[in-house]
Amino acid sequence: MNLRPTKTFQEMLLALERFWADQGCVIGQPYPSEVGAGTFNPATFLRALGPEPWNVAFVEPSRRPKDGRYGENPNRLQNFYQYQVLLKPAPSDVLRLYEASLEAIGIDLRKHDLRYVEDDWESPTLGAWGLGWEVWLDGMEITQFTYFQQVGGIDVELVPAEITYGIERIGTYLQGSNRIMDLQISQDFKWDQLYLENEREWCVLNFEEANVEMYFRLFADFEREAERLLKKDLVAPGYDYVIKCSHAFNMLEARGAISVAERTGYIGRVRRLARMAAQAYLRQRERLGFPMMNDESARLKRLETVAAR
Amino acid sequence: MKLLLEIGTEAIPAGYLPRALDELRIKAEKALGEARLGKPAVRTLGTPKRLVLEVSGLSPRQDDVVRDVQGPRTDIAFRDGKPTQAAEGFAKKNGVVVGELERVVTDKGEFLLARVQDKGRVAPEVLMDMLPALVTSLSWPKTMVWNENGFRFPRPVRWVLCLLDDAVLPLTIAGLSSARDTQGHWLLGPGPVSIPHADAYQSALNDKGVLVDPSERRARIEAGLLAAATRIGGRLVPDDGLLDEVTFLTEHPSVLDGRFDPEFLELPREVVVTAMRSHQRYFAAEKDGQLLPAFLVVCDGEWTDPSMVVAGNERVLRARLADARFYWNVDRKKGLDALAEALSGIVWLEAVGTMGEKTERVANLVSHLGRLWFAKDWKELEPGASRAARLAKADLASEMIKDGKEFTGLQGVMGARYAEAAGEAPELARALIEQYLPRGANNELPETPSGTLLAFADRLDSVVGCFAAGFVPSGSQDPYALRRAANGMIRLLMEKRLHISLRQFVRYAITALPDSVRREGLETEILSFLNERIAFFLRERGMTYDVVEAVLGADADDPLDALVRAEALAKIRASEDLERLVVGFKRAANILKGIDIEDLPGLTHPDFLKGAAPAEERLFTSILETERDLARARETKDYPAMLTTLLQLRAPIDQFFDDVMVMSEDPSERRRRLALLAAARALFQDLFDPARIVIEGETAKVK
Repeated sequence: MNLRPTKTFQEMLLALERFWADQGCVIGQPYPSEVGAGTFNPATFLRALGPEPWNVAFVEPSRRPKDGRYGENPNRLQNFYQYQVLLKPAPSDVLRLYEASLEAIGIDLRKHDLRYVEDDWESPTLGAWGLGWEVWLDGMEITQFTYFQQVGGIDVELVPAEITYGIERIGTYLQGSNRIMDLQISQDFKWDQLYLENEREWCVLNFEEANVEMYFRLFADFEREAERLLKKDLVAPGYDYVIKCSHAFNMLEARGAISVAERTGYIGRVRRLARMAAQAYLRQRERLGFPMMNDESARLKRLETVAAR
Repeated sequence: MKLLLEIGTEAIPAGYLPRALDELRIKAEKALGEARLGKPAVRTLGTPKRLVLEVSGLSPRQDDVVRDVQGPRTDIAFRDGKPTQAAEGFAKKNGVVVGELERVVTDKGEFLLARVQDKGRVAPEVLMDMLPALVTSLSWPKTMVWNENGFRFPRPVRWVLCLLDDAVLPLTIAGLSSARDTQGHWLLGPGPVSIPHADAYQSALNDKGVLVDPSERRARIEAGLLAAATRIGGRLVPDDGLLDEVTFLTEHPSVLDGRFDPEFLELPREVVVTAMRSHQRYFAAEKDGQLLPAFLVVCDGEWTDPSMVVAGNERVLRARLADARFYWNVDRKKGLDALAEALSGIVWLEAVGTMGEKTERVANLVSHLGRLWFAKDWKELEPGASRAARLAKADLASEMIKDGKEFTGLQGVMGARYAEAAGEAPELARALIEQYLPRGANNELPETPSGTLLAFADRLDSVVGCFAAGFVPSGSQDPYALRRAANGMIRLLMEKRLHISLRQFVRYAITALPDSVRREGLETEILSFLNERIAFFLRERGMTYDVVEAVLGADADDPLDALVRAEALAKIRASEDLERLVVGFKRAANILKGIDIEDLPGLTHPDFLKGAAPAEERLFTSILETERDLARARETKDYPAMLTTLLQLRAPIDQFFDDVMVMSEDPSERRRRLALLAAARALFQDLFDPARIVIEGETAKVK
């Protein structure tokens, strides 16, 4: 196995892609709309539900408007990257696989202190929660590992393991630097050359320029649209509007337009939509006859339980 | 025989483990106690990745026992000397023949009796039944499912080892069949380890880097910490809670030491320790009372060259301390006054307003309470107390606290450190910390006058504000911890010996709330809530239920006064005089039910005693004397003396009831006697309510 630390950020990503592709994962792509985390990507949120096995890995550029610091804080960005893996059902050697993936990007685990520290994950916006850990490498949190228990307010049928790597952190660590800004992305470019100005400008938008009135309007419009489409069982477009709704909320929060008391109400509204999307997705899979179940007899049996209901 | 059961898991949260291991041991002891397998010794061991039950000294089989089973009545079991179906059936059911049945006579008649031999089962059989149920019965704060089996546990179970001496005891837990394989330490001895005999388990795992015994790990960590502290030329700052936690975060602990830039020591000690402790679980070291620029980290493993591990941890801590220093600088630059002003932008409760408004209300309460409690010293204390009140919550607007992460727990402390850094009086800094005292039932109380005033005023305002906003505690629901706040208020009054009129101050605090909040019934609700907290305090002090009720039933406006009365009453509670007096009083109260007291003749009327019996005259005199003596003792609030005085009434009342009939046919006689009873009853008024005192044998009548 290659234990040479990967030299650049993109080499590290390529190594992760290679590793998980070899494990039989679909190599997915980022969702083409603003999401706060890879969990929002329908390849995670929707496909975590139901009886169909599913293994996927992808990079997710995640937007958290209020986390921006105008590129001045070496560890905080409003737009950062996650490497997201979903293994459904979680294989019994999932932790071994995860550890092997760290070795694949050049971390020699024999020289480090790797620890699984309790961290129970919950997303009130998505109505999702699970139990798992923050994974520590020499005291630094590098990964969030979660066994999903509920998604969209619905119990999962096959328990998936979600592995979310904080790849900028791992990258800076491997490269021996302290600031994301110094991250060597490719042979020729560092992070600050490619993204720093963008980061500043986005922060200006998020904290100063974003049109509050427009985002309130958008939130309401997206909410209505999501509900309308999901009621017609148009799952992918309907869920797309749930994502847009959630981003509008994030923008409003960054602008300080939502008070602490109102916050819970807005989160509840997004959660309601997420639940509708989850239910619509399950109806869709039933209608299609759970085509991604590879065990034919299990598939037929599962369809019988649907028919019996 | 020796049994060894090991449940292999993925890392279970450190906080769950000590209780789980206790529970497993207690339940195993109980189950084995009933299992008739000798007198085995039970021990539990464990790491984050394994729960271990070890039982030694098991008998290979259960003892045989003889059990008596009672059957049908003999007159039904036998007809004409021949066994009936009832007798045959009973014998068959118990595996004997009719001839072996015996007879037993009870008070319900004569019955058949079967002596049943219970053959003991072999140990493996008994244990195979017992162990899976034992593991399933463990209770956990949170559990999960991880596969289609649906078994619930805090983290996935990955293997089960179960040996009885050298044989695998076959059982299934969480869908896994037991075997003789366990797993070594992930770094020091990775991979499966086959255990030949239950006796060999601990040493075999030891060879593979796992210390299964928590006490062994704890000792190793303690020794490692002391050695590391010496190595860096200082002393360990002890932290037992953290020691417990890291014991259950590791399978093979070792202590490494790292450094940080001494420049960070300009930060307050609490900030540095929090940065190290709360997230990273590092221990601190000090020399001559000063922190050293170093940390001790408890790792899971051992390395010939730990430089990468140390460097990694140093890097993480540097980032955390750098965050803290950034906050520290920004906040100091802003200054406490500016931060206090920013409180008007922070909502406390939506319905009641901002932290800025709360600050103003609290400052007002402080000045009223200060005048009440510190009287002539108040003039001198006032400037400091009023500044402390103004700055009390300023740190809530600081970056350090607002960040919402590990430093949030330092509220109060940060205010104090910013105050010191800005050259405020030490007394003021102290008060900013003390406003949060007491933190719990046994926690210390504030010492400075300003701290005491703030601690009380802030809690009073919180209780009143939350009640107004509708956050009234009920059952287990108390999101704003108002019970704790009110317990703190009562403790302050009682233990600092402070008098107050709760009604007056609650009313005042309500008036200060914004006009928009509801006021209807608020005062009564809050006073009855506080009343419960006073009762709670008194009962915690060992007062009996009825003494507490009696004292608070008379008057609960000044809790300290109630405490003194309760102590005096408790002292004479057991005396016969008191019991007799109470019985007399209750009799009087019954008779007076429905009587209009106002309508009765006055005792001061010159002709009052005209035609009165000697018993009436005696009671009359006693009432006047008691009234006079009470008034004298009341001047010095000498409650023990007042209660002793009341006891003077006992004999005259007894005689009164013995000698005269109150409800006489003669209206003027009747009215005179009723007036005497009413006057006697009035003497108890603000001392205690005798109706609530429970007299033995009379319980049922008391409400």
